[in-house]
Amino acid sequence: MTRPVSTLLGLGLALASGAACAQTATGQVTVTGGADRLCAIGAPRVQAGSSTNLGVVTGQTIDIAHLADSQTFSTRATSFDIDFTAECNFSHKVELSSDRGGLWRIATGQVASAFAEGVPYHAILEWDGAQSTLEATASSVVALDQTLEINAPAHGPLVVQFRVDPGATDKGAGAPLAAGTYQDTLTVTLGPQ
Amino acid sequence: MARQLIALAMAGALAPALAHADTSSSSSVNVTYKLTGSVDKLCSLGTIGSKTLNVGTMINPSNGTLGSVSSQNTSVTGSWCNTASTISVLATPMIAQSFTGTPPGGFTKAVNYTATVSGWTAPPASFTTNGDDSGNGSGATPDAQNQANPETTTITVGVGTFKSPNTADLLVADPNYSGNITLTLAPQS
Amino acid sequence: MMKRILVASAAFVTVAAMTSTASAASPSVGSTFAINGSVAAVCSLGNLPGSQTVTLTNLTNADGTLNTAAFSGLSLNLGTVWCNGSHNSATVTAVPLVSDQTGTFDASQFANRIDLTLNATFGGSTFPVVDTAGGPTTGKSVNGTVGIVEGAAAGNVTPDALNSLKLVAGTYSGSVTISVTPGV
Repeated sequence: MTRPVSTLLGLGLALASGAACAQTATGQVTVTGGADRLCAIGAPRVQAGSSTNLGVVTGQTIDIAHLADSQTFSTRATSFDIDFTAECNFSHKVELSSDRGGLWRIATGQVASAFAEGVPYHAILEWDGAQSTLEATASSVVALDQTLEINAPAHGPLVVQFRVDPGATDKGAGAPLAAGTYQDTLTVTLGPQ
Repeated sequence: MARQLIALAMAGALAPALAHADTSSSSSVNVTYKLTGSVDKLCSLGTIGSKTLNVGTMINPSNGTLGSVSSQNTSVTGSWCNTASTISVLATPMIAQSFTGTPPGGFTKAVNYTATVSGWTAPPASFTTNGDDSGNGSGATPDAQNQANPETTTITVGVGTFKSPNTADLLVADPNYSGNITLTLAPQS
Repeated sequence: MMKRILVASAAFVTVAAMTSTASAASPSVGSTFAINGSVAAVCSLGNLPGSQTVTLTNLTNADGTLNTAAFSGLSLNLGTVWCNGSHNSATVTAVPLVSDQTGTFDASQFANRIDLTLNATFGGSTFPVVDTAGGPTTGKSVNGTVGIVEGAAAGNVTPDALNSLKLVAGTYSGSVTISVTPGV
C-alpha cells in the first residue's frame, strides 16, 4: 500500500477589491470667481489749449467767452473738446444727451421776432474708435440723444467735441442774438445695451 | 548437530513509509512551507471636501482692476500610499467662461493664482499659473514633491495670491471665471 | 526447516560464536549465548518534499488593510508523523510574513509584518499554539514530545488582526516548519 502524497493547501479566496486605489490617483478641484459688470466715467476735463472762444470753466459748468460777435451780433464760432476717462468691462452703449436741443436763451421777457434766441451746435462723441454726432439743431426746445453701441469692453479717453458754427441761429444764419444767458446741459452715460 | 532455533521477534510493524528510505531519518526530519504574498505599491487619493472653491467677487469696484481676493482651501481626507510616493499639482488660470475671443487691450479675461498642496510633503507642492490676458501660455509641467515613506494624512488644497497677467489689467465682466487644479498621488517606482 | 528471520533495515543481530561438541555418548554440554539486537530510532514525515511554497493572493483590501480572507482555509499538511521510538520530540515553528520594503513608516498607521497564529495538530495531539506576535521576525517555535505513533500532522494558519493598519508594499515572506527528532 502506498500512501498518497497529500497536498492539502487552502489558498486565499480571490476577494474582489473595490479598485479604489490605483497606480496613480488623481483628483480635481475647480476654482471659480466672478467679475461684476462695471462702467466708470471720470470728471470732464476741458481741453483749453485747443479751444476757440472758451470762457471760464467752473467745475462742470463751461462758459463760452463771447457767444455773440461784437460786430455782427450773431453767433461767434466756438470750439472746444471735453474729455473723460471712461471704462466699461462688458458690451455696452454710450449715450450723449442734450436737455434742450440747443443753446437756448433763458427767457426774461418778450423779444422782438427778428432776434434769435437759440444757438445750434454739434456735439461729436468719440469713444473706443467710434464716433457719433449729436446735432442740436435748435429747431425747438426738446431733449435729444445720440447712442453708440459698443460690442466689447472698452476703456480710455471719451471725448465730446463741442462745435458752434459762426452765425448759426434758430432764426437763420447771421441773425442777431437777443441778449441774455443761453444754456444747454449735455450728459454722457455709459451702461448696458 | 544441535540446531538452535533463533527466533527474533521484531517489534512493530513495518510502516510502508519506511519503504521510502530517503524520507526517514535517524536524525531530524522536517518539512517547511514558505508562505509568500505581495502587496503592490499603491496610492489612494481620499475624499475632496469641496470640489469647487469659489473665491467670490474678484473686481475692484472703483476701477475695474483685480481687487483683493481671499485665499480659500479644502481638505482631502483619507489619502494613503503604502510606499514612497510623489504628489504633484498642476493648475490652469481662471478664465472668463462666457467671453469669447481675445479681450481688448488693457483688459484681461484671465486671472492667475497659486495652488498649494500641503500636508503630504514638506515643502508642499505648489503651482503658480502664469497665463496671459487670454489665459494662454501658462506652464504645463506639474510641481512634484516626494514623500520618502508610506504615508496617510490629510491633504490641504489651497488657492491664493491672485494676480492679473499685467498689473493694471481691467477684468472683463463675467460671473464665472474658472480654473482647474489637478492633484496627483503616485507611488515612486 | 529454517525459520525465516525478519530483519529490519536498521536492525542487526549479533550472534555469539556457537560452540558445539559432537559426541552422542558423552554428557550434554551447554553453551549460552546472547543475542542482542538494536533498532535505531527513526522518524518520518511521509512523502512530502522538504520545502514547498504557498503563494497567498489578494493580501490587501481596497483600503490597503489586511484581507484576512487571503488566509482562509490555509491548512497545511505537515506530513504523517511516524516514529518508532518512544521519546521523540517535535518542534513546530511559525515565521511571520514580513515585507522586503525597507524604510520608516508610522506604526500607528502602517504595518510591515503579518503575524501568524499556528494551530498544529497531529494524530490526537495538539501542539501548543504558536503566535508570532511580539516575537522576532525570525519567528517562534513550540516543542512537544511524540511517542510511538503514526498520525497526520496539520497546521492551521491564521493571520493576527492588524485592525485598521495598512500594509506597506513589498513581497511578504514567512514560513511554517515542523521538525521531528527521533529518540528512544
